[in-house]
Amino acid sequence: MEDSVDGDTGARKDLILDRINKRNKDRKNYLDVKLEQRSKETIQNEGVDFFAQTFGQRAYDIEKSILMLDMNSGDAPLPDLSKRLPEITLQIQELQRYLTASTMFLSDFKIKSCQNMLNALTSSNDEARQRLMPKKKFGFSGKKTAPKQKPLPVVVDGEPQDKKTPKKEQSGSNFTWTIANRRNAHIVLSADEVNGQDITISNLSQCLVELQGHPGSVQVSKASQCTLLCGPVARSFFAEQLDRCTVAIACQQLRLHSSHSTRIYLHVTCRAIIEDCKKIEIGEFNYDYPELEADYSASGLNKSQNNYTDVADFNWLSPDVHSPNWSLLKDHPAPNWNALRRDFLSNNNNYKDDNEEKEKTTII
Amino acid sequence: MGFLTVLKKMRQKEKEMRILLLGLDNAGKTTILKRFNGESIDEISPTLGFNIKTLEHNGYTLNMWDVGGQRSLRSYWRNYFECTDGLVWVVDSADRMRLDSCRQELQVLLEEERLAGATLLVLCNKQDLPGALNSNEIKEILHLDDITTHHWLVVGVSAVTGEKLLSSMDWLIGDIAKRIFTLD
Repeated sequence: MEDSVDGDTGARKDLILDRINKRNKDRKNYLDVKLEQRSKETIQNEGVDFFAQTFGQRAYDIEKSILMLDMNSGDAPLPDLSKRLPEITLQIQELQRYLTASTMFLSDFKIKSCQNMLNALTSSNDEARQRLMPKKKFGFSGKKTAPKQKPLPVVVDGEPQDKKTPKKEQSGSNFTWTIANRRNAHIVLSADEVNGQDITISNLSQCLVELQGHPGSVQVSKASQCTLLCGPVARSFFAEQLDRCTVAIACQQLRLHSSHSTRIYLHVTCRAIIEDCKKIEIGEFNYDYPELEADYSASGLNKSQNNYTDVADFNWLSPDVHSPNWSLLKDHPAPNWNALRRDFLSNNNNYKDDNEEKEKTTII
Repeated sequence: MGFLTVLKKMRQKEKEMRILLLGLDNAGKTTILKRFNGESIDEISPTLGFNIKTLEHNGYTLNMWDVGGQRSLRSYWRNYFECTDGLVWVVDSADRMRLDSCRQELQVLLEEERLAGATLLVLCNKQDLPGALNSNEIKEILHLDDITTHHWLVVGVSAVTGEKLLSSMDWLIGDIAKRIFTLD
């Protein structure tokens, strides 16, 4: 009996011990979990700190390298500079990415201040680039320093004497047209002045304009009763407000706006579009001169591809009915440009004196 | 951090962005879109109407809307303003003749209420051309420094060479993403 009681108490004691042990273990586990949680939180805090530290360090490094650029600029060779600048730009971009990736655990204020820092870096980098490696400006800067030429009298005898006219100002929106404000003139730009350039023409009346060579692009604004002869244009021919003009042009794209009664002898490799136009007549390009073939290949235009019959009219969107604003020239003798030039010159001789008189008076 | 990354990835997956490409005609909007999407840019003709491209970039789904820039199409631009997250304004850097009208059109857009929240990226396209103005000059001409209503960035790019195109798009997407995150 006693034995059994002893055994019973022994078993109960074990049970209780077990339970106590288990509870102790649970408590320890619980503590461990809590500890882990707390350490996790500190890691997160460290993340913010770590970010601030890394970001600051990297921003400082970039700033320093921008400053270094300035100090070296005296004797640093150019290729070095051209390598360093993109490197810095890349670093800034990388930093931006780092900031963007970290936005999840940063406060709004921190994001904002870091972004401001980045913006400052970017602008100082840009500024350094502007100062140290200014983009090669396009223009006739040599001529700009020369004293201002008196406006030349209108050239009627067909020689490209008007070399001073294509003077392009780089500054601001008040740019200078390549050719502007002419009447009754025969204007010829030689291939040297034209090749690869953007030619801008404005406000012409009764002129014969010849662009030799292969321009990069041609823009015309306001021309009336003019003839424009032009070799292959690498990119686009853009014209607005043409009135009773004749144009012979080869180009990649033709865009014609607000024009009427104009005839275009066209070679277009991509597509021609017209907008707000009336009475536009389109014929196949037939202007020819000895260097045409070479100009085609230099401009990169495909001579065998001519989509001149496919003109899109933005004011006529019906695909079934042909636009009333333009038509193809049919059964029409192709113009003889040489004869046209001759006629123009002989007619113009009558105007010549009158014109020169006028020019003189304006100079005085 | 691991959990947060997963969360973030999940959120990014849901994120769709609507980006509107606008600018005058002949600025190169379609070329930029095609180049960005990795398509051939050899045969691009003036856009009659619009192009839409949906593409994945950096884990975002981008709905890119490229609307033609002809004058007769500009009055339709406002049909596309709704829910726009980013506005890409494409400038032909070589087209000095029309930079004034370019500025006016942009100003009209910026006053538009439905574009008020959009990030503005001005791309000075055609930097590969010899006569192109650089991004600083265009910033001056377009008076970009006066813009206080939008986040903006001006970058000189070339759709033909692809120069800086990707990095500027990354900026746009990053800026939109940041705004969406901080708003939540």
